[in-house]
Amino acid sequence: MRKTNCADVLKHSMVEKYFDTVYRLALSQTNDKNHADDVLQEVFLRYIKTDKEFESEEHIKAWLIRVTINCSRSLFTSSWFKKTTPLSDDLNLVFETPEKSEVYYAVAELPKKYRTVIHLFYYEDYSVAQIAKLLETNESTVKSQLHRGRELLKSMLKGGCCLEF
Amino acid sequence: MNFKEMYKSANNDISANKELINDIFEKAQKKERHFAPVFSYALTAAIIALAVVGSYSNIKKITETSENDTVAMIEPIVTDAPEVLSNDKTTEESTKENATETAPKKVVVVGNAHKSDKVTDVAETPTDIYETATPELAEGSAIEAEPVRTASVIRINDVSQDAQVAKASMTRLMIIDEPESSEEPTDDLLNEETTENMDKQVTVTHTEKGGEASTYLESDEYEKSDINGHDAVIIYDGAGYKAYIDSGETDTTVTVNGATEEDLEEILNSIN
Repeated sequence: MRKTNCADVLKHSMVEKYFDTVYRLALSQTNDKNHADDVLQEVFLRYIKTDKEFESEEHIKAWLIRVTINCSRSLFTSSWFKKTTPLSDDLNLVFETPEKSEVYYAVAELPKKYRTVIHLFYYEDYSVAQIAKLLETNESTVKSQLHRGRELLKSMLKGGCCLEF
Repeated sequence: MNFKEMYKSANNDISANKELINDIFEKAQKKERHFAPVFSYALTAAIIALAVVGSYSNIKKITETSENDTVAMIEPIVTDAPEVLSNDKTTEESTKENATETAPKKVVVVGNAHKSDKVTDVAETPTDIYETATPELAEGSAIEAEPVRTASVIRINDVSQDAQVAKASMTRLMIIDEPESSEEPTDDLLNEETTENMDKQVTVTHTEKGGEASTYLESDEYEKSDINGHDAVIIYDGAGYKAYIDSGETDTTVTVNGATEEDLEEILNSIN
C-alpha cells in the first residue's frame, strides 16, 4: 500500500514536471492546440496506468517523448481524425517578441519529419544518436533531416533575423 | 541570440493548461474504479453474444440444409428461361386475358419450384404458370391445377442467393404446363405384365407409338438414358421410378414401386 502511494506521488510529480515538455512536443507535432491537449491527456493517462519500471528520470522523459510522438502519429491515422475537419489551422499562440513568433511559426511550417528532429535537437537538447534511438531510425537519417530542416529554415527566415544555427 | 536560444525561448512562452492535470488523474481513477463492473458487464455481454451467434448459425445451417434438400431432389436442369418459353402455344391460349378463369388442367409435375422463386413477365408468348399448395410434389406426379396467372416471357428475379439454382427451379415451374386432359394421348395398350424383381413390384407395359411414353421420349426437356442400347426417359412419379423406353416399333413403360434409381437401372438391365 505504502509502495503504491510512493509510486503515485512520484508519478504525480513527473506529470507536473514534464507536462509542458509533452505539451510543447505535442503542439509541434500536431500544430493544433486541441489535438495537443488530446495527445497530452492520452500520454499521461498511459503513464499513470503503466506498470513499466523506469530506471531513471531521464528514462521517464525519453519514454514520455516516445509515447507523445506515437500518440501524435496515431491521432493522424485514426479513422476519427480522418472524418473530422479542424476548426482552424491557426495556432493562435502569443509570444513575447515578434522574432520568437517568426522562428516558432517557421518551424511549424516545416514538414513533420523535420519538425520532430529540429524540436528534439534544439529544444530538448538531444544528440543525433539519442534522437535516432528515440525515433528508432538511423543516425544518418536524423542528420540528413536536421540538415534539410535547417536549410528550409534558413530560406524561410532570410527576410527576418539572421540567426546562427 | 542564435536560433537555438530563440526557439527555446519561443517554446518557453507556451504552456499547457494545468487544469488538465487534475482531469487526467480523475480519468485514470475512474477507469480503475469502473474496471471491475465494466469487465463483468463485458463478459456477460460476450457470453450472450456467443450464445446468440451459436444459435443463429445452427438455425441458419438447418434452414440452408432444408432449402438445399428441396432443390436437390429435383436435380435441376440448367436451362435458360427464354429457351423454355419456346414451348408451343396455340393462338387460343395466347389470347387468354385472365388465367385464373380457365378450367383446371391436368398437369404433370416435372420439378419443384423453389419457394423463393419469383417471376416477372414481359410481352411475348404467354405461358401459364401453375402453383400448387404442395410445392414439394414429386416429379412425374399428375395433379389437377389451375394456372394462377398467365405470364408472357418469364424472367427470373434473382431473389435466391444461388442464381443458378433459382434459374433451374424456375425452368421447372414453367415447363410444368402440359397438354389439357382432353388432348392427353391415349395409350394403345398392347400388353401389360407385372412381376417381382429384387423384391420390387415391376410392371412392364408395351404400348403403341404416340402414347404417353412417346411424349416423354420425344420431348427435349427430359434427359435421355441408354438402357440396353435403347433411348429411355426415367422419371420419379412419387411412388416409384418409371422408365419410358423406346423399344423400336413400340414403347415400353417400366414402373417400379419403392425402388431407387439405381435399383431401377439394375432391374431394367436384368429385364433386357
